[in-house]
Amino acid sequence: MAYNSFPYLCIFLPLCWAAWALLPQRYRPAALLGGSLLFYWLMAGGYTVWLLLAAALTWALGLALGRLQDLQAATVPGLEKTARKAAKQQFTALQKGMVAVGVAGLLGLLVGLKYLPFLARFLNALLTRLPLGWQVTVPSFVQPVGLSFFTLMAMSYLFDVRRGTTRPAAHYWQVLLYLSFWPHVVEGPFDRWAQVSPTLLDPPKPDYRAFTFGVQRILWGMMKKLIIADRANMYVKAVFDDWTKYSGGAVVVATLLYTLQLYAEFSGCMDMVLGAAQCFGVPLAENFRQPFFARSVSDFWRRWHITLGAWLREYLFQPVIVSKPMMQFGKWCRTRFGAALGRSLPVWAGLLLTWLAIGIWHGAGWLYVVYGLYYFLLQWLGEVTEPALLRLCPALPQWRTRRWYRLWQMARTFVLVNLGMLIFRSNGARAALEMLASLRRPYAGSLLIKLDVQDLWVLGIGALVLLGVDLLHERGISIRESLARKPLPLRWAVYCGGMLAVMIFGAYGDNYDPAAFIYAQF
Amino acid sequence: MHTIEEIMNILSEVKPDLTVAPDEELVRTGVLDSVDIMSVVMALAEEFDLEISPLDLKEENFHTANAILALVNRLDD
Repeated sequence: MAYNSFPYLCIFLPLCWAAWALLPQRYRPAALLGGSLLFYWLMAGGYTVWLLLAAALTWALGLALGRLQDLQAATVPGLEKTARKAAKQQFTALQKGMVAVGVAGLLGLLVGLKYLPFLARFLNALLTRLPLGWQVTVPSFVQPVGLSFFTLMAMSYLFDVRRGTTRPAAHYWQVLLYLSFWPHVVEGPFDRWAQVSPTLLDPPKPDYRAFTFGVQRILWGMMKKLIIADRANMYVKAVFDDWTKYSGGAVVVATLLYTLQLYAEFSGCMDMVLGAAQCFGVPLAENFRQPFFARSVSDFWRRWHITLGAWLREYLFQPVIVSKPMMQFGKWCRTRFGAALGRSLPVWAGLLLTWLAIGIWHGAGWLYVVYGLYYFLLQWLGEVTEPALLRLCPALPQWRTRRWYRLWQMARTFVLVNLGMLIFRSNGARAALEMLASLRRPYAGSLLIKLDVQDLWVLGIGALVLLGVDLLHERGISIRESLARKPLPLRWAVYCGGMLAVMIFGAYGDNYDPAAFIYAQF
Repeated sequence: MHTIEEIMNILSEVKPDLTVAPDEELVRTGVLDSVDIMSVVMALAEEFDLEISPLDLKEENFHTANAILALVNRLDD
């Protein structure tokens, strides 16, 4: 049951909202939990058991961590100094052990269901080089939908409870609702317990403004998905799935259209899920912030899939950098390579790990390793060439404040991101290299592949509308707030126009191949 | 108690071209990015023998040189 499907939009969502709004306030969380479990079961069937198990482990460990913290707060302050230090160390070790068990369980689930076949293939490739004749066989599991999302959200819950930034949930159903909440279980965003639990567990009254804003956002997401993404998919699929036939201009157009497709689809999906959650008064985290106005690749990743980057920065990159082994590695580097390099090497090691994690999170394969390495290399090259650039061009700091230079930075970032998209969409690392090499060869055939001129017009206008909306948002203008202040007939004209646009220009019917949501596969 | 001069020295070691006032915004203006902040963290831990936890890595602890000084003094207590 996809977020843009008829059963979801016309049956599931209205029924859930009606149940949520009509039930007494204390039973509203039950409506959300019932809806979430039904939605997940319809998507995953029997594999729902993995979600139930992950929630059980997370809840039990969170509760145990909270109890330990309470016990520590009640007993340790009254002890004399030496005993206090010893008790504190014991409590810390116990809590770290519990978090380690939770992370091992959740990572074990993620690795076992998502990465095991890839790891086995890698190990077997290594073993074939040895004269032992050994090979490893592993069972192949079906990856349940949303696995990469709910396991990471469960881990963030345990980390936050351990850090004391949030209190643990008292009941199992509360953690289950947090992890299974249907708007974010399939494609994210990675929401934090502290952010969503107040409105999930103690829902606000139905609110006309929140409801209308939510419906508007769902409609906007539908327009992006059906008018732009699914139409661009036709061209992208034809070229990337049969890449040996195409070169030059066809590959350039396919790459640009894939960037447009992924942005329209993923941000459109986020509009649909954030809009749905807003109807229920639940504020989910924003996942996009005008990414094509980014002036560097690291800036791009602060604007694209924001919650994945934030998760990895907060729970992987930063803890790794301040960990004792990394501090010791830093000391070792300083004695060998001097102060400057000694400080930057551990940071770059942490960044390499983080970019690899971003790559591998998207899928089990070498292509995703290459994808992560590509962004690491871009960031690293940007940093190490900075002093030389400043020496070569002393006016650079002044240029950076100028409008023309900012536009140049945006254009440069756009090109680099598109190259990354080509790698990301290609059918393997080898195909990516061949497609990059094919850019030098001109393409003799027609550039109208699977799409006609009218389709390209719709895509071009759609891209301009997306750019215009992003430009307004970049300038701090809220379109929905502005629309809400307009007279009723004008507002309804806009809503009807949006619905008509989806019906007339939406890419569905016999001539189109409806595409599944890309991030739902991760 | 540490001094603002010690913090300014560390900032200029990590970012040699940096010239900022003690109350000048460092993070939101993009003067320090996440890589620079982690280099500052490594330098602070080494210079003042501090144990910095992930919880200390909040924007408000690094948004000005004075904020970094406050963090160092708090961790050193």
